Amino acid sequence: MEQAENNGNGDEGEQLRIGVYICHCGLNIAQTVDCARVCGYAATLPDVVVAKENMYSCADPGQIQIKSDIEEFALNRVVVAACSVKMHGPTFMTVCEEAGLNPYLFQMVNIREHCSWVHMGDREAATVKAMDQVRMAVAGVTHARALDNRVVKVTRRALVIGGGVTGLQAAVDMADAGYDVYLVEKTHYLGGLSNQLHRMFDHMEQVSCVVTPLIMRALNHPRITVFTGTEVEEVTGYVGNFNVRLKVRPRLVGEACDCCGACSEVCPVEAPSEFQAGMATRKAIYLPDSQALPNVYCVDEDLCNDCGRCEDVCHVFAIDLSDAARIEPIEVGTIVLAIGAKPYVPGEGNRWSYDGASDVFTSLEVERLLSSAGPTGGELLRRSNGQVPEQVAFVQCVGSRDPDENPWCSRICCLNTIKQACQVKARYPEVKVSVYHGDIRLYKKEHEDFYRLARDQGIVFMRSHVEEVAPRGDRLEVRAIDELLDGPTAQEVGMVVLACGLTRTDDAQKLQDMLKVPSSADGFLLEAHPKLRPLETAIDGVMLAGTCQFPKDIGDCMLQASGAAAKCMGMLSKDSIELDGIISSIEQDLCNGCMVCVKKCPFGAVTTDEVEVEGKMKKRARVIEASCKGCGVCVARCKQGAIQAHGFTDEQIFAQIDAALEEDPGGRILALVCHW
Amino acid sequence: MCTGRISQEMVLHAFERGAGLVLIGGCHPPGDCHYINGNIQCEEMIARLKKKALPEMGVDPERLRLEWVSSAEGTVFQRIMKEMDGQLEALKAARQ
Repeated sequence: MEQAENNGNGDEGEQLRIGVYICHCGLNIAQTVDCARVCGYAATLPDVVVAKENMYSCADPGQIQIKSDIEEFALNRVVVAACSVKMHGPTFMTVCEEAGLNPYLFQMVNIREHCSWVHMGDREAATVKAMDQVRMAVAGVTHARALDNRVVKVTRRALVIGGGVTGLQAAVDMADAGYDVYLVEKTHYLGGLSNQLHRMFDHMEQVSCVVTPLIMRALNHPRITVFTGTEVEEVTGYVGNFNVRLKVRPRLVGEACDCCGACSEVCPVEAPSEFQAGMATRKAIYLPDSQALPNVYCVDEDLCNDCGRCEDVCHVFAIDLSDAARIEPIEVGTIVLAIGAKPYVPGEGNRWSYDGASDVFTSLEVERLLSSAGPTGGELLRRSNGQVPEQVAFVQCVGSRDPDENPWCSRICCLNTIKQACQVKARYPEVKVSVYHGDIRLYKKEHEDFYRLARDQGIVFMRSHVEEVAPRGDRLEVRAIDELLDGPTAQEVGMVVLACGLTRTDDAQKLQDMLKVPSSADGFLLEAHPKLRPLETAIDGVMLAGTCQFPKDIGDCMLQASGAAAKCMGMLSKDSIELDGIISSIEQDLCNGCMVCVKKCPFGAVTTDEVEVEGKMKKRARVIEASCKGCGVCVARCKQGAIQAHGFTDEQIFAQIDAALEEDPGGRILALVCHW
Repeated sequence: MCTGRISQEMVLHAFERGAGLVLIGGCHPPGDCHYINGNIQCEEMIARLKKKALPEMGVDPERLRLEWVSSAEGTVFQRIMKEMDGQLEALKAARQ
């Protein structure tokens, strides 16, 4: 990393001139910390030439003060003691830059969240701690070095992985804005999980009325290249420059297909229909649903026995069973992960007696039953006798909010149940419907009205914990503990519907491994920051959208899809982008070629060069600057001291440790914590 | 910076300087680490330190504590701090 040559370049041997600014943050800091005392203390620290207080350092007067001081006092280091670096670090880095000071010669210290807010009522201790924090920051900034941001060129195209509503919306948004987009879908049809849904809460619109036009827009858009039956095989490169290999499985049926269905009729191989949630069968050559898009049959390669009967009967000669998979290499600048989620299905021995054969149904199965395109043509029929049940019980939070199963709330189940209960009531007014629930969780302003509507229709909501659903003759008994009655209840019903949430998809791990995108402990893909960067992953250029992040409804998926698209376009709108300078670099003269850093780098960002050393070719490690995330794992592992973590050098960290332990070290706890 | 950035030398240096206790706080494994597995690499380093370098230096390994705390777990951090405060008081009392 080259050092900047502007004012305050952090060169060795320069005369340090440090400015320290203590922010009151209104009363957020000042009511607990004696800022004047901290400021007076800061002025006594080595090389501090100016120390000032600000009411709000982040506001214009505060910024102008720092800028003018940088010029007036020829400051070459700046410390701001205020709030979280995550919140206003970039603000003050910009202030420094605008005043001609390299922004990496700035250090922020958090005396709000880390001090005043957690020590309210103990002014003396908080003030002393704030002084300690400022001393540490001054010690750290003393060793700061000027860094340059990295500049990388951008391939101005995007890849969207996942052809459900989220991926479709993200692709259409970017394409409409003039960017070329590759849309990759694993199955042979677009629309994802939403295809299986019949109606949406809370306005009861038919899902296909929303999804079909969206799919048509994607399929017909001149800037979108759709790959169905396609999986991402390999991703290399970095933000702005991803090289992706797609594996395109053959559909084995060409676009000439007019969906006459003759092939399917003669096909001898039968399998459960995924589209109908296993409640009907399909053939090895099939169209999942008459509305499926692209509206062309496909062949399930894993099931097909190559008998060739379909080829014989196809009157438009659209079928070619000899077609093989191909690899399609593409180059893109950004990637949107919209791989969706998987509906939870209770496993063996579950307490609700769900086995896929009894009159216990999952919410997805009922969604299919209620659909006119479903296995019963829209009739709510029991599996056991093909009759409409007299009573239906919905059970909420099945597998959800359960520390032993799925600890999270899936956010969609309460409303989905209210929707399905209303549908049942509308179609069969005589059927009694009850809902066993824990908390009813409603997020949006219209949802309360929807809930009220359901209760007005006579749907009974019982705040209960369902202990067991067990067969009782030709019916099912629901045994529960009613929280209001504070006692056990039992009810016999003809049908039980389990409100099942969403879990991570089976494909998530493979993509995670390829892209190095972290997930949280529950398996959902992790955003870079839950509040400040909810659309991005920790990997620059890779965005998140939809239920792969956490369960959400179609409306929220659309929101996030457009958000992720906007984030991508922010990068794609430029020929090159800047990345921060907080990365590692290796002094190859000190490297002994042990390759520990190459092995340990979580991002594959360390590579090797062949370097001539004393007449012999030796391996020496080198950091791929654009791929480095600045975690510093390589630095901690290097026994040779050959690697520097810029922005977090040993000098900076050791100086802060020394400063922290300057007084009464035995009475202190030193904490080294991750800055996330 | 990740907990994976923390070197053995940093911890040893803190104890050489007389630190009462050292806490290393990172993100929950396996998945919460923003740098994939920096937290696990840190855990391995801590295990080695506790086994060898700290006892050799005459430092009770109990004085080094590794905890997984997310930024949303203020109450967990508070509990850990209170426990460590009690530990530190006991340590000081034992010294006197």
